[in-house]
Amino acid sequence: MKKSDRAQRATAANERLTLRDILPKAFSLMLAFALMAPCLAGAITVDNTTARPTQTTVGNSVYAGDPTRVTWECVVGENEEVSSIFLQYPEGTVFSNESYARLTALDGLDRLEVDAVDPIMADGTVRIEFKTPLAPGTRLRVEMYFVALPAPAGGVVITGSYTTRSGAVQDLPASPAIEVVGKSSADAMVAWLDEQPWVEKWNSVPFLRTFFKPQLIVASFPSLFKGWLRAMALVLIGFPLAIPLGLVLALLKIGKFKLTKGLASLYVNVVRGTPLFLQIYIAFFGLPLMGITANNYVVGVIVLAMNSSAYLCEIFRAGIQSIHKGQFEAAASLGMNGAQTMFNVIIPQTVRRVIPTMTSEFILLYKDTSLLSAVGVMELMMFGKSLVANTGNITPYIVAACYYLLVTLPLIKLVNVLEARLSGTDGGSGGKTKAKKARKSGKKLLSAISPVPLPGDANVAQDAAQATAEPEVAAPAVWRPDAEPDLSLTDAGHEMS
Amino acid sequence: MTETMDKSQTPVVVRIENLVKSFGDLEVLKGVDLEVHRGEVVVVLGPSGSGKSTMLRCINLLEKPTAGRIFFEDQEITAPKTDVNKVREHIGMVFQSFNLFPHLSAKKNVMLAQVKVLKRSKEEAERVAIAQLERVGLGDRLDYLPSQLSGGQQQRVAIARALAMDPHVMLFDEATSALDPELVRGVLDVMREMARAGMTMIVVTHEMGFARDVADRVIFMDGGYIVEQGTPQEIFDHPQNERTKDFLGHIS
Repeated sequence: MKKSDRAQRATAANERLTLRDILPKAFSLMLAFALMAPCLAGAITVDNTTARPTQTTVGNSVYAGDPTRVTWECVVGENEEVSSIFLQYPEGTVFSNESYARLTALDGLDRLEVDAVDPIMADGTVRIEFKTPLAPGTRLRVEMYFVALPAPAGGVVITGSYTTRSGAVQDLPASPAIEVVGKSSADAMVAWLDEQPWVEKWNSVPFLRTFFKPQLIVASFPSLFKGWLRAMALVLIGFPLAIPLGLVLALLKIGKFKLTKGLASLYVNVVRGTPLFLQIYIAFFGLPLMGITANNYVVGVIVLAMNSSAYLCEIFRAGIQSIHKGQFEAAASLGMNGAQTMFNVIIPQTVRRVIPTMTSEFILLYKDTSLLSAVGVMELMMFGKSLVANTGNITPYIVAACYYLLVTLPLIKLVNVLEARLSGTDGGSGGKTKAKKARKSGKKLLSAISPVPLPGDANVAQDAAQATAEPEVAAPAVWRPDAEPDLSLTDAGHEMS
Repeated sequence: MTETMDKSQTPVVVRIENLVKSFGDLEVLKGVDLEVHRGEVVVVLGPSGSGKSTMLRCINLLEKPTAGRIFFEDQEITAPKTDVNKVREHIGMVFQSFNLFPHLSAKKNVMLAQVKVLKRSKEEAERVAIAQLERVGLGDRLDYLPSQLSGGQQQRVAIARALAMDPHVMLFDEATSALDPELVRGVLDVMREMARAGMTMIVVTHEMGFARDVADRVIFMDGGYIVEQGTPQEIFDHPQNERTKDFLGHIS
């Protein structure tokens, strides 16, 4: 019986412990040992517990209820010998008929033979009796196959007790926790999909299986949600930082001081003239070389903000210059200085005009957060990438695309409405019906922005919009404080005609 | 015209000496001399391109004169170190295209510069704004946005906005030219009322009726010069200069 059992086990897994004839247990070897063992330093230590990620779903998580392999390792203390070990798995752990244990003992790098009776597995506990006690310093690894773990709060912790050669019973230190993910409704749905004939049929088409595997669609959505939140956080922090920076750059560019004007132009041209990808590389690989280390997300936000500020600068500049010069003159004729004019008259009007193009820029920046995946910032694209790597399937990218569209499609719609509203408005005297019509269509969506028609040519707003769409093409300069004679010339010419 | 005689005795508000203004190679003003006394209404006539608007815009330095001097109440505002904004506080201007601030209500349009430039309290500025808007007949449109007002109403708001700054002189740059004919009258009525109240006004216009009725003095400009000036009767009924005759002949 023992012999056949042994043969069976040996074929099942050749590293399995070999059973020997029972050796007479030596009783009285060193009484002192038994007495001293409890109070000796260097009692048994439990230093490693792992569970193999379960395969039924994507990611590296161990899912509750899926049979997995659980590894537990301990090192026998310096001054004791261990004759039996009792492992207690958390409540809810299920051993099945397939479950079995494999024991490995190591002394340093050398494998030792394990002389033990068959481990007894019942109700989430495993009892291992060693016929030859484990020597001091021995590392023992217990691998339990086909164990379904529960998902208790705080993770799976294995406890238990052991008996020393002298017969003293000691508690085992609690093992490091294994993180186990509870089964979600998505997992349940994946399991359900696995069994559907239509899913099988669907997946038999290579194209559909590769890009739109139903199980992966269902499994990816919750996994990518975290990535989506991070991408949103990157852009929602980066973009507001870019706005004041862009405004300052725009004012410097419009301003009279040659030096600041030149510097602002240089910055804007360099940033707009180089790929964001390159800027990300420079920041992420350059800063550490200079000894500057910062959180990946912080660096990411800064790079995005600095990049976007250059584009926003051009948007603001075009917006400010699209304001009719009469507005500047009216403010000037009332004795208002440049700053008063800018902040009370021009910028409030510019804001309404640049909102569509700013929204477009927001969309671009949101999509550009994906470039940060190249340097390992965990965002939506990166989450998708790791799922694709795990599954060898493109579907997670498709799901990531859905997350991008979730934000961009409504914003694109919003931009269209805003632009329609802007181009429908006109100066104070004319174009009233158009303005009213446009207001009607936009009002519901845009209660935040008061429906004020804009002065001047309706096309200027369009020009501002085009200036961002094609950054190389500067918007027509309607007003230049440093070039008054030019303007006046147009004026005089007008009067002459 | 006893009234005119009286006004020529009052202090000079604006004095222009040999004003020249060029835009590149184009000389628009070739040497203009003009004195405007307190309480005087001067109407400037002339064909397009004669330099009337440019002269007006030089007075509050919206255009920088190429040569010549301009005095505003004994201060030479063409001097290099002039605080331009300070000068403009006291010179009101009304534009052909109204130039109201489109994002602000009528009342706020009138309040803004009072608060920012004259440093009046919000309460005082509001009080003045309401009074001035009532004066131009828009007491019931205080909270309307410019886009909700007709052109004539907008121009009257613009006048109220200038008046709220307590200007010593008002410049009108073709204030009614952009208006539909039926809206012109409302604006001219307001200007008439201002003239009666003793406001010093320099008015560039094509409204001959207004010039005849309201002006103390009419100036005819052509080719960058003032070619003739006098009372409305002198200019309209007995023009001396050929070009004046020609211009008035075409108009009427």
